[in-house]
Amino acid sequence: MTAMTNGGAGPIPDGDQTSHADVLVVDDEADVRASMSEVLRTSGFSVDEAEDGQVAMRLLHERRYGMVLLDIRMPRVDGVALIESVRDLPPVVVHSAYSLSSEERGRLGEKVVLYLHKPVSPPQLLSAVRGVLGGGEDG
Amino acid sequence: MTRGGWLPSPLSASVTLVVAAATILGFALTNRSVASQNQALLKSDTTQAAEYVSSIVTGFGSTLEALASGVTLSNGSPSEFEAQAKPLAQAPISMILARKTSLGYVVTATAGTGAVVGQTVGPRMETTLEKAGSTLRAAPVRFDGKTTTLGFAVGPPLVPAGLAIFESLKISPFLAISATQAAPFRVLQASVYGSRHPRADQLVLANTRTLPLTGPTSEAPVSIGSSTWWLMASARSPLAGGFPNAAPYIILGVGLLLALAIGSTVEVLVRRQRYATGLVAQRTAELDASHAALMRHERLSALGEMASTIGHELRNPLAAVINAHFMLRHSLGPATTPDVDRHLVMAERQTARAATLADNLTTFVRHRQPNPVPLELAVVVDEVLAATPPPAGIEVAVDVPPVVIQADGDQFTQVLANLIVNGFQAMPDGGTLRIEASVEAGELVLTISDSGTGIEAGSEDRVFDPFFTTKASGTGLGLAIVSRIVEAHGGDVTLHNGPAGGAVVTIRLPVTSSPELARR
Repeated sequence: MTAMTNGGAGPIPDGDQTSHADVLVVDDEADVRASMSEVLRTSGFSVDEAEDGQVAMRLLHERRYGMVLLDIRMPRVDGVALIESVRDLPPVVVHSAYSLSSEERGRLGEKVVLYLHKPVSPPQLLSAVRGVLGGGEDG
Repeated sequence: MTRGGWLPSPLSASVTLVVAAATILGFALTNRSVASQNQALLKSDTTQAAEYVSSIVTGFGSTLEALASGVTLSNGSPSEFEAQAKPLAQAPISMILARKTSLGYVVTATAGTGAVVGQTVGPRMETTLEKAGSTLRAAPVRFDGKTTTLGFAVGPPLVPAGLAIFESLKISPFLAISATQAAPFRVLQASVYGSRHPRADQLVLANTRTLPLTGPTSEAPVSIGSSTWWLMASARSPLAGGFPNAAPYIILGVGLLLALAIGSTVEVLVRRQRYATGLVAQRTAELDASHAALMRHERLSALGEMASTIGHELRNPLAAVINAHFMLRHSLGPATTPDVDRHLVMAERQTARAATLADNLTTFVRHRQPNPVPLELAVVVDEVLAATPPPAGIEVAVDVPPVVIQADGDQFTQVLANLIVNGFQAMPDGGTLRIEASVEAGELVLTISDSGTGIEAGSEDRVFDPFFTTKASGTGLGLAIVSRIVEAHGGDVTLHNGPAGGAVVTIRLPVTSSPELARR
C-alpha cells in the first residue's frame, strides 16, 4: 500500500468518498498533533490532521480512514461529542491527558478500541496503531 | 470532665455555713429574748408570791394586837392575859407575856405549852422582845430538818412599858405551803427563808423538797412587820408559754434544714455548671479538631486541584517532547555522535521523570474507590520485588505469613511499590529492607523497615502530606498516595523511627471481614 502523505493544511479531495487514509489525528495541541503525525508518517502511515472535532467531522465525511487517534478535550466539538454524533466511525483510539471515568467509557461503548494516556512513547503509539490497522504498515 | 467527687464545692460549703451561722445567731437572739421574758415573768410571780406570804403572816400581827389591847386595859394582869390567850393558844401555838426586869425578861403569864411563869427567857427570845414595838417583830427562824419554830412579838406602845407579848409556833414547812393553792404557787417552785440567803436552818416554807432551787431563780422580800424574810422561786415550766419557748428551736431546726437545702441546691447548680463548662470545653476541643481536619481537607483539596491541573497540563508538552526526541533520533540516524547521544539520553531520562511526576500527580488526585478482591499478600510482595529489584548492596528480608487480604490489586501493589522504593532510596550506602506481616486481633499489621538514617524528629505526621519530601529528587507524593489508598481501605498507616534508627512504616488493615471502605 502506498503511503499517502498529506499535510494538515494540505488540500483535501472534496467529497471524494473513495479517497482513503490510514489515520486521522485529532488534537487541538498543534505540537502534539504535528509530532505524532510525523512519527506515524515516518513509520509509513498516511495521516490527516484535524485541530478539533468540527474539522474532524468534515474530514470523516469526505474521506475514509483506517482509524481515528482522538483527543478528548478540545474546543467547539470535543472527542466525546464526535464519537456520539458520527455514524459509521472507523475504530477509535482515545489519546488524552485525562483519563475517562468508567461511566464515560461505558457511554462511548465499542467504538473506542483502546485508551491511551498521554504521554505515550512513540513505540507504544506505533504498536497501538499497528494493532488496530492490522500491522500491515511498517516504515 | 472534672468531677468534684464527694467533697462539696467551696461556694456551696460557704453558703451552707453562712446560712447555718445566721440560723444559730437567730436562735441565740430569740433564745435570749425568750429567757429574759421568762425571767421577767418569774420576777413578777415571785413578788406576787412574796406579797401573798406576807399578807398571811401579817394575820398573826392582828391576833397579837388584840391581845395587847387586853393587856393594856388590864394593866398587865397575868390572869387576864391567860384568860384571853387560852382560846388562841391551840397547839402548836403558845403565848407568853413577859416583863422586863434587871435580870432580863421574865415570863409573867403563859398560854399553851413550853414556858413556865417566873422563868427568864433565853437570849434569842430576849433579843426579839428587846426590839418588839408597835409593829410585828419576827424572831429568828429555826428549822431542825422536820419542823420550823417561828416567833412573833409586839411591845410598847401597844402594851404598857416594860411588857411584851410573844407568840411561838411550830410548823412543817412543806405541809404548810402545799395547802396554799394561790395562783403564783401553782407555777412556781418556791421556798421562804428567814435569812437573805437560802440557809437550810432558816427554811420557813417550801412547796418542793428539791432544795436549794436550781436553774433561773428569782427572789423577793417578804415583809413581816419590821422584819424581812426572803422568798426564792423558780418556774415549774417556762412561764412565757410553750410556743415562745419552742420558737428558738423551731428557728434553729428550720434554719439548719434551710441551710442544707440551699447548700445542696447551690451544690447541684455548681456541679451542673461545672459539668456544662466541661462539656463546652470538650465540644470546643472537638470542634477545634474537626475544624483542623476540615482545614486540612480543604488544603488537600486545593492542593489536589492544583496537582490535577499541573499533571494534566504537563501531559501535552511531554507528549510533544517525547515525540520530538524520537524524531530527533530518527533524523540523526547513524550520524549521531557520542556527545549528541549523551545529551539525548539525558533529555529522555528527565522527560521520563517528568512523566512519572505527572503520573503521580494524577494518581494522587484520582479518587478511585478501591475494588477489593482477595489477595495473597506474599504473592503481591514477590511481584512488587520482581518489578523493582533491590539495588546493589541492599538485602531484602521478607517474613510474610500466608494471609489473604481484601484489597484493590493495583492500589495495593502501588502502596507496596512506593514503600519499597522509598526504603531502597533511604539506604544509598546499602543495608537491609525488612518486610514483615502478622495478623493481630483481626488486623493485618504490615511493617516495612529500612536500615537508613530514619526521619527527622517531628516530621512523623507531615510525611503523609502531599508535596512533603526530604529527598532531593522526591515529588512528595509517594507517601501521600500510600496514605490515601490505605485509608480508603479502612486502614491506617504510620511512620516512625525504629530502635536501630531506620524508618519503620506500619500499615494496619482489617482482614477478618470485608473491609469497610472509607468514602473519600
